[in-house]
Amino acid sequence: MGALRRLRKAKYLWYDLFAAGVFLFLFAPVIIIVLFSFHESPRLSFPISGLSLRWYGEVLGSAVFRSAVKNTLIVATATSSTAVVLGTLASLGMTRNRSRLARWVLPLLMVPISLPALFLGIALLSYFSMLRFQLSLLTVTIGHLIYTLPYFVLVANARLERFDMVVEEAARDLGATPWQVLWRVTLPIIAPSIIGAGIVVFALSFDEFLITFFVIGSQSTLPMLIWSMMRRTIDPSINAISSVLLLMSLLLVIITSRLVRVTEISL
Amino acid sequence: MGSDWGRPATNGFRPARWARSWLPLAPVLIILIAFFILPSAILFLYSFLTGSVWRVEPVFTLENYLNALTNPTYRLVTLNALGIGLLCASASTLVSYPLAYWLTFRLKRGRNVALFLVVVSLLSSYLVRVYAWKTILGLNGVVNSLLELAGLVDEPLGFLLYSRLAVTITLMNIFIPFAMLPILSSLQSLQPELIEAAKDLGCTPLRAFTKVTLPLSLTGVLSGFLYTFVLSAGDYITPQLVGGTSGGMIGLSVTNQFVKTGNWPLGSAISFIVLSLFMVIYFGIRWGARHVNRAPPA
Amino acid sequence: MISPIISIQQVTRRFGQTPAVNDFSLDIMQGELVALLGPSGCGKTTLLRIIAGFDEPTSGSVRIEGHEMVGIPPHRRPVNMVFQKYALFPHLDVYENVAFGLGLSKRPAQEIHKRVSQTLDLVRLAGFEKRRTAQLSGGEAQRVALARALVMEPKALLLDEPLGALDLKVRQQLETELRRIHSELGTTFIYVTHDQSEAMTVSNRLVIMDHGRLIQEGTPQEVYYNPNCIFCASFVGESNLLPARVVGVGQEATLVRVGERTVRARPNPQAREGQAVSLLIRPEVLSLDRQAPNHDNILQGEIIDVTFLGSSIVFRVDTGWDKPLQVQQAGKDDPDLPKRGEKVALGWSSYDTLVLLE
Repeated sequence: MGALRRLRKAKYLWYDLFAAGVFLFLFAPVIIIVLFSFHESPRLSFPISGLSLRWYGEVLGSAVFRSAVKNTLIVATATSSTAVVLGTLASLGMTRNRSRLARWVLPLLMVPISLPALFLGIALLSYFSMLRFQLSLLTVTIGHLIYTLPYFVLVANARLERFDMVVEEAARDLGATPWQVLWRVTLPIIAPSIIGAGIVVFALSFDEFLITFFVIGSQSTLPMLIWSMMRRTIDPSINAISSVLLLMSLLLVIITSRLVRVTEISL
Repeated sequence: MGSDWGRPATNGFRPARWARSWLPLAPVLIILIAFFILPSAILFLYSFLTGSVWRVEPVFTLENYLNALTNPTYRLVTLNALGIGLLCASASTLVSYPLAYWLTFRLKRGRNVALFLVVVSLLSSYLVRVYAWKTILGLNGVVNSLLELAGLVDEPLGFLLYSRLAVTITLMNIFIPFAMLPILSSLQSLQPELIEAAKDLGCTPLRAFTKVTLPLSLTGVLSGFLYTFVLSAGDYITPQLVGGTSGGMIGLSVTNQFVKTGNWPLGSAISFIVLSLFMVIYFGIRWGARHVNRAPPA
Repeated sequence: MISPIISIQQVTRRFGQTPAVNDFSLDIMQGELVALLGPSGCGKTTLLRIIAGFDEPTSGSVRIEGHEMVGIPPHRRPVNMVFQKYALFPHLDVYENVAFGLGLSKRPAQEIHKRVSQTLDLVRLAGFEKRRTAQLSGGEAQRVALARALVMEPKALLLDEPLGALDLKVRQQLETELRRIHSELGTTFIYVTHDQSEAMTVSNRLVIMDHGRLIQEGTPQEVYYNPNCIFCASFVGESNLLPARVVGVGQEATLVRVGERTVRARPNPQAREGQAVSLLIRPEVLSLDRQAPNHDNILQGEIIDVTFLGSSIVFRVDTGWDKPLQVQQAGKDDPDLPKRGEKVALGWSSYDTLVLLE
């Protein structure tokens, strides 16, 4: 009996090793990037000769970098605030409107992300150029909005489907006008999910590259900066920039995970 | 309640019932129409116009489509894209399923942490990760330097980077979390009582898996597969950065038309053809899967 | 003549073709504790929601203190509801929940504080102000819901099966609490339930509903001892219902034939000779003994089954009729109690035997 048990436990050990291996595979590149961002020499290979912050210094001192970060923040903030307003309205409308026509809104919303992002990029490019609409951070924001709204709505819907409307009835019974019901009851209750969804939008916009590539004007965002640097050379300061980007994503995911339950979202 | 009880709600904004249901949806619909449907229509229109280097003439023509369909280069890169897509989707799904299963059924404590890690890898910057693999797999990269240090090779391995292998590894690294989420979702919604019932009725753990768990999680697997397929077949950045000359992807051709050559109508035609192809494959697989599922129980 | 505080007149509510509430009329006086009792789907909740304003009748009128309420949204009606699943605001604590309605009309904070404290005292939840709703037990949550509605000093309190989700003991406790609060405040209560023991405990006026119609109304005793139809007889309390035929109508008694035997029943002025009727004998009016007792009606039979329920014992006795009779007695610790298979005699008075025409 002891041998059989040991055999069974051994089988599970292989399984655990496999899982650990996959996780290692998923995170290895990230870890290596961060590791070499502190590498004292510009070589991106072993052995490690020493640690230093020089790349971070170079990056933070670069005006190009600072401007790219600023632009990325502007676009991400604009996208997420707009998405919160429009997306919350849409989600509220979608989950309460039971008509057959309303059921088409969500699939329609999902079309832009079901297609390769390339398509959205070139469609917007040709559109803006035909309208003689100048390419700028505004056009980037618009592109990001189309790209991120479906994700926002998915997260918000997951919460709103669970929402028990009887508390709204209770509020109305106690004298609240429909407007008061919205502001004093509905929105406060769904606020954590809305904020979480907004942060997801922020993170997606922060990272977005494909659509930005087509509709940005002369300015640069952080992903665009990395892209142009990557094309030229293997520059260790890219590691530093990347680490900053990764840290931002990590922070955003941590905050979001406190607010949103991932397992309820149905893709 | 005050003295105003008993008065009908005449003051204040009280629009018709249907307006109240549709008004919140209006802004999003307007945005969608203005910035997605219209642009797509405009793009579609472009594909029928005559184009040349950085010029478009408003002359109706089907030449762009003919060009796109007959040109052997485009066919090649399209097949290339589909091949990569299929390869990555299959590989990612094959790896994701056991991992998702492990997370759902094997992991007792720390499940939230594992899930958190999956989400983090999902939202970590795409470009950064491609760049990471570029540095890892290169001649002077991490893998080669480790192999040399360990004395396993005398010369750095050149096939690691700028090859189909590099593309596959990189895309898998990026898309495994994508494939995993729908599978996770369907596995987690599986009631454990069903598996217990199967075992109670005489199934070994393996048969319980094949007869209960697997069929019920198949929708998630399909979802993950299709999603990953569309994403990786359409991905042209990774091949551009780590694929070398192993084969361009159709996305690059389209991009080049828009950014380098300036023949927008041609680029537009190519993208619509590719899009239709994707649609056919996507709905074809879904239709096929639905018919398999509808087979009467043996 | 005092006018009713709530007057429901010929209210009908149709969903498509089916009427959920069918030509319902009822006048409720100030201070009554009315229970709307009926099986699931009988329309009682729909009616309550019509009074509250969450639903509009297809036809008919609802007046509160003489004012027509149809067309007026819930937040402008002077009634308040206690919901079945409490519907407490999860983002507010107990105090904020109870103060919610008052806070909407911008009253001075001091007044709100005073009224909330008084109401929390009334429902015996003093000290619970800072608790989160998720930390409350079922009984506590229901009291908060109650306080939240009562603090608004409504003309009528509407309760939608408020005790359904609670354990038996908690339910019984709250039933008593509700009676106490009602008598302390004097507010009119309209209580909806499908549980007849709850309805009888809580109310001083019972309204039986079925398929949207008002079947019978009266005090619990009236409805229990004088049901006007088979439905009421079987819905409220336990009953032996036997098909019978009238063979004699008189001042002292109505004679009916059940199977082979003749039974003496309470005089029913509407009974006609030869009519097919139903006979109602409540299980507790039957006395059971080994020898023949001295009664208007006597029957011999054999015990099929004995069920011990704690405070009562139920015998099922086969008397030769199609269905066995249920006999209920006070429970006692007596080893000499008749057992299964024993031959016994049942006796009961004609006054306790009711002839029901439908």
